[in-house]
Amino acid sequence: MAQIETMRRFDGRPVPDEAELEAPPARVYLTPIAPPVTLGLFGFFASTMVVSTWILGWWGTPKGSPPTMFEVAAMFGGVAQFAAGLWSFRARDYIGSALLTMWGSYWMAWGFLQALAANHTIAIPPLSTPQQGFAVWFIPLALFTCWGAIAAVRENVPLFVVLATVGSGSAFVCGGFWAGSPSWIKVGAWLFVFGACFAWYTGAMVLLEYAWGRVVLPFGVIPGLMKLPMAANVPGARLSAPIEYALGQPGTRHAP
Amino acid sequence: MDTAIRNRARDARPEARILLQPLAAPAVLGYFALGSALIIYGSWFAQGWGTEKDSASFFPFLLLFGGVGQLAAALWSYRARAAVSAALHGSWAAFWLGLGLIYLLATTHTVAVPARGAEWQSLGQWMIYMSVLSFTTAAAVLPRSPVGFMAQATLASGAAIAAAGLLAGSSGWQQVAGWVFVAAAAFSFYVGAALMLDTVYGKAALPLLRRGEAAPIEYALGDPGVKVGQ
Repeated sequence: MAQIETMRRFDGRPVPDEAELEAPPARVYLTPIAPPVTLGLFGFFASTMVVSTWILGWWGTPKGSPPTMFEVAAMFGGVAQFAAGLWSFRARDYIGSALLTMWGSYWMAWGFLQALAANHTIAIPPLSTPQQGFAVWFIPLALFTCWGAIAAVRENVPLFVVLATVGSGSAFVCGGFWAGSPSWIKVGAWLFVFGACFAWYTGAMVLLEYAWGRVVLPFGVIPGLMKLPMAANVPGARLSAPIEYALGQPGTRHAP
Repeated sequence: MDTAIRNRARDARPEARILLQPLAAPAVLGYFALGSALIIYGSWFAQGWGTEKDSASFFPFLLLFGGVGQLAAALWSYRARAAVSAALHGSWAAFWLGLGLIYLLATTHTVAVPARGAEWQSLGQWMIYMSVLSFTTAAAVLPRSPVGFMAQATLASGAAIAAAGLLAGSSGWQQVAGWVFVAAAAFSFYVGAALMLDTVYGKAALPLLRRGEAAPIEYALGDPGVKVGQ
């Protein structure tokens, strides 16, 4: 009603449309949830490490990808990361909702491709053969991940490093598959490994701060550039004061 | 924008309220699903029972209960504001979904799976990262739930030992890992049961070594959701 009275007084004129008087008052409900980005980054970390280290020859043999490698990647990097991306909409996280779902889709699609190869429906050539149909996957991945890195300049350094290295790694991988250059693909794989390690750090940093209620792993905040206060760089500092009913059921209280 | 319109928009700004919505603890299902998959796969992996062909019989359980069931618990954990549950159960749900899919493809003779005790590089690689992630969630849960820490640290240790056994092709280490998974399953059943009994009895029926009594808000004569339970 106060809102309607305010409108009635607007410029001393009557409200032009009677329907506006009938409009019910609006109320914004803010619902707290646990941070979805941790599961998403954990899925990205594990899947990227397993596949990139195989490309780099740290394990396995170079004769095509191991037929028992893609299944967990499709589920962890794919389904779990995609689900975390969808929950990021509820967390009002623009970067997470766009990029976790995008990379989750990538891992599911890659798993689908590998499943077709395992079933001998398609043949996947060696890295030295140009695969332009696969290379083009990495054009939007590189482009949007780099845009995410620019957005992350306002968030924290570890997230920026994840997106910057993975975005530039995608560009190298794109060029490598387009030209059939194993060297370029391996440069991209190194960048992916680097980015994946930072993805684990970023996921753990958010998880530990949420669960312990204070900073455990430093956020790497650059003052004046990023939204968080400088205290986010100091272990032990408190960044949040969540509203809860401590004796209530899950959802009403802050759980680890 | 015209000043008058901007002022009007500011005056009409709706009130904001923080809505806290109670729900049943998703970790109960999460720990039950995790423990069930662990006890079946761990005891078989440790060569405690069955033959290589038995994976064709138990993979649907890993896929659907350890995978789909636990993933549902993980996603509800976001609404429960339980970050550790979301990360732990989400990670292991994805693992069981993937492993179940491997055994499904093995059953249809699409892929070949090494026998127990033999070298299996790709599964060993996955176990490395499952161990890293489980130690991370264990560290996160430590200040609030020491029993949860025990379950997750045991699970992480089992994954680390399994990684070593699979990468080295050591039957002995794989057997040790399998029995450590069984121990992690026992901890998981305990934590899940304790959380469930805690809610049903309104007090700590099994010690969880965590917060004290609960006093959930409810209208006892209302429908499910308004009152606790059905």
